[in-house]
Amino acid sequence: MKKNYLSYTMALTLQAVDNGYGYGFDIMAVTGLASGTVYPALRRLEDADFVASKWEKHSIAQNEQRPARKYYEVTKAGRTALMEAREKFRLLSQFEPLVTDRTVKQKG
Amino acid sequence: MSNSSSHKPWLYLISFIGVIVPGRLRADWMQEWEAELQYREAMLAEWDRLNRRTRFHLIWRSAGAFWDALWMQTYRWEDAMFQDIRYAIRMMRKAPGFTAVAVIALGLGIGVNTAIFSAVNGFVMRPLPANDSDNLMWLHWGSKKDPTVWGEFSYPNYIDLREHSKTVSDACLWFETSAGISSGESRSQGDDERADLIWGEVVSANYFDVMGVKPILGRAFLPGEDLKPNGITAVVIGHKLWRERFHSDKEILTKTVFLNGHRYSVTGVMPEDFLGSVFFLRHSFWVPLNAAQDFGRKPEWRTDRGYTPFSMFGRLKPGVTVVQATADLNSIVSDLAQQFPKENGGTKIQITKEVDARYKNTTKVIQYGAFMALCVAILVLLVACANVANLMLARAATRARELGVRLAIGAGRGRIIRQLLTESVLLALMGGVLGWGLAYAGSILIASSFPPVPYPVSLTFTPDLYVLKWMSGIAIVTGLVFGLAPALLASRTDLIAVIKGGGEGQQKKNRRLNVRGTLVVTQVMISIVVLICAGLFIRSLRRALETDPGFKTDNMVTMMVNPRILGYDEKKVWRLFPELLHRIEESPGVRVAALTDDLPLQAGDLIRGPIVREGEADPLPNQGVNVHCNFVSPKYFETVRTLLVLGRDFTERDNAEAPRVVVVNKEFARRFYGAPEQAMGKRFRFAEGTPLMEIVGIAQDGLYHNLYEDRAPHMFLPLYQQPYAAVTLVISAQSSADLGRVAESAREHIAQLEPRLPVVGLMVEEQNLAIPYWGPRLAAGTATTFGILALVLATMGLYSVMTYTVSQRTREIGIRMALGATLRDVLRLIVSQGMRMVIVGLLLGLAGAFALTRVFAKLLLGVDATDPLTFVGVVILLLSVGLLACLIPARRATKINPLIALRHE
Repeated sequence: MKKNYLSYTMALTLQAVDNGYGYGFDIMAVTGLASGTVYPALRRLEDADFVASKWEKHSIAQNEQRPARKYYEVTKAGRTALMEAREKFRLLSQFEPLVTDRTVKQKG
Repeated sequence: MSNSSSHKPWLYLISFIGVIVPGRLRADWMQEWEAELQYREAMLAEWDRLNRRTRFHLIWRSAGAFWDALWMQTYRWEDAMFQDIRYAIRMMRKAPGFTAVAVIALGLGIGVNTAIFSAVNGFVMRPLPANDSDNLMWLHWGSKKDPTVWGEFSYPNYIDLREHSKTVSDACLWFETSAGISSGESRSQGDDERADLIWGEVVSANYFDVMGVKPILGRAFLPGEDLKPNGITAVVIGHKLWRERFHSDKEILTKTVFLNGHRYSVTGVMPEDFLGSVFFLRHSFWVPLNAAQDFGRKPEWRTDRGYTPFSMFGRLKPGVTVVQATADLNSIVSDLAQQFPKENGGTKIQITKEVDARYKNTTKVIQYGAFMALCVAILVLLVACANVANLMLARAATRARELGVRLAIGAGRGRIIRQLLTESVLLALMGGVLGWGLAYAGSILIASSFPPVPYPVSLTFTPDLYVLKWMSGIAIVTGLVFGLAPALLASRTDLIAVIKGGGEGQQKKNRRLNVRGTLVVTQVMISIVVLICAGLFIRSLRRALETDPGFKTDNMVTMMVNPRILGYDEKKVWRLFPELLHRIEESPGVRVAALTDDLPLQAGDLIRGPIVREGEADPLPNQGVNVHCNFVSPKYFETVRTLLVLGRDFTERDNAEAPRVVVVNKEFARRFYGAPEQAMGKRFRFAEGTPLMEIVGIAQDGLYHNLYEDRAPHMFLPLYQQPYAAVTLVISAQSSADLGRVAESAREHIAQLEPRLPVVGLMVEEQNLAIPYWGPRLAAGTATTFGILALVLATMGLYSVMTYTVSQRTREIGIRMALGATLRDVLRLIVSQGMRMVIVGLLLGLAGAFALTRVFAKLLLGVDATDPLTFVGVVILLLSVGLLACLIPARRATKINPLIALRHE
């Protein structure tokens, strides 16, 4: 498979990350995709340099007595790819308001 | 890792799944999942919703990590593969000798395979440049009595079949022809431009639709364009002609050209890759059927149901099988047979794919030969593989310590096997690259062996993408197969013995030697078979060269002329030919000269008949015997030195006004009259009221079509009584020193008589035999190459095994010598071990050869498939080469100094 080919689930994941849902489990929550789908999609996106991963600050994690979480951010290339993907998958644009409408408690 | 993993099942699951994540990514991976799960768990607890259902959901989520972990395997593979490849390259560089030998052996094996496959592809399988060429059918017509028929069609039958068939979607007619092309009206006087001879086809108007090819410029023929009674006819030209003669002129569509002196207007140019209906020729023009008469067909071709000069291609309707279509067409044929019993009685139709009909009757022989060549090529590849496997085994033994250490410090068996497999696939790929080069050289060699012919032959033997795929497949499979056995053996190395420095475990040694011994036996066996094939083909070629074809090419010059391409009619042709022969015979150095339509061994399919003896009635339709014939001028028999056993040669008085005469061969006389003496002076005719011909001479039997044919009746008709103009001028010079001068003066005479007439295909002496002898030569050449390759590879294998054995038995030999073994004893010990393998292989190989050679007995000329000379010769050759391969390492063994050998341990 071509490295920068975007499947629908990958595009959906990318869209979710772009909307600010940086953590794996948050992406599952907003997209409704299973963990076994979201994570491989994230790995592929990372391989294609469409997203980059970072660890959250240790101090935050230590305060909550849990390991630091890894979060993902859309890169420049990822943004371009997302624009193209939205041309291809019209449903992606419909997905957008749904995401912004939802109040995500855990963000607070 | 968190402590809580023990009582939180989701975290436990993560650490469990984490095991299969590649090591270097594992910590990161586990932390990510654990953090997410713990965060989620904390969130849920905060919302007071950590009930049973959400707990299960968490487990379900963490199970998704399994897919993630699986996906991570690709990283592991890349990782290890790069490591393996780097390591493999390093190992190869450390043992350049081993690498070189293995790569060369494989390269030879793969190269030969690819070359043969390319050649077979070029001859037998390369599709016509038509659309969906796999479904292009060639229809043939002939007598019901024959199992296979290869005859052509008449126009009225074609029309009826096409109209009534429910299974054939469309069918077209074509016939091959040549023409002189000139830009001026060649009948006009004073136009001295020499015409070019080009080859092309006369086709029905739907020809290009059936072929599924469109012109790149202009148009193909319009429906019904082949029915126009007169006026300027359309011509579609080939790309090469357009480029070379018309300099790719885009204005070509407004131009007219002259073919055989008739005016044509160019309506289209075909794409470069479209070469026409004959797979080995590049055709340059296509004209519709209404021009058939201009290309030598009878004026009544459109109405005469018994006149069958047209080849038919067809397409079946979707979903229709060949069997269904054949049944459908044959039911139409039987209807037609009732309507027209005279022309169609007792006939049938046969449908085959174009590819299968290429060689007509000889297809089987050629496919057979091609199949044999492929089999032998694969055998050679097997020898090469066995050889490399042996090398790998020997190498694995010498690397036992290295592998042992790797195993001891924790490498898994699978890891070692993968490493060794990587090495062998890499070797195979290198061999593949070398083989590709060799195949390329081989295909050039095969192409250059093709005899010079005056036709636009277009055969491609260069390896194409198709062959490349095949070859890559062989290379990889070879790598896996021969890499696997040594890899398995090596990974079973006895660790303790290895680390102790004792090389390898004692009990393992025997088995390994047996594997190696078996490989050597196999190699010897296969090379015996291949060598015997080679021997038989060489003997067969020798026999072919000795066969008397019934004529001699000594001091002979031939060239081809065809005044019909300048629009000559019969009368003009019959005025030109005698005058030309007179002038040539008078020039210095010429012994005698004559004209014939075709030389012996290259005769086309000119058939006349059925033969009806004087006083007998015509046979029933399709019941009589037709006989091949040649049209020859006076003095032909003297020129080609064919003996007339009785009677006289033709003279110039045997012309159109004189009574019809004929010369037949002895076989004809025997078949129809019992004996030559009884045939002399008798008269016969062809059916349907043709005039009687008197037998005025009996010629010695000869070979007329190919070297493989049986004695067959043949007749010679006087050229000056036949409307035939495409002739070969045969000149017999007084000595071979005169040949050049004679050829030149003949050309001058032709130019004086008709400056526009092109002369093609000048050939001298045995060049005239190049085409018929090409097959046996190629077979012998290929088989010999194979034989030598197999012998070299097998010898290499034997030598390497014996060298290895000697190196392994150094200590033993040292002890033996210390205990009083003589040099002769040591020599005998080593040589007998090697020769035992040779003899076992020899016996097995002989048995195999006896079985195999019977299969291709058909391809051998006058040589028994169990020819004792070949068998004995090959056995002696192999024994002596085998002995040599054992002797050299054995002599090395005798040079072992017992003191050093023992101190070594």
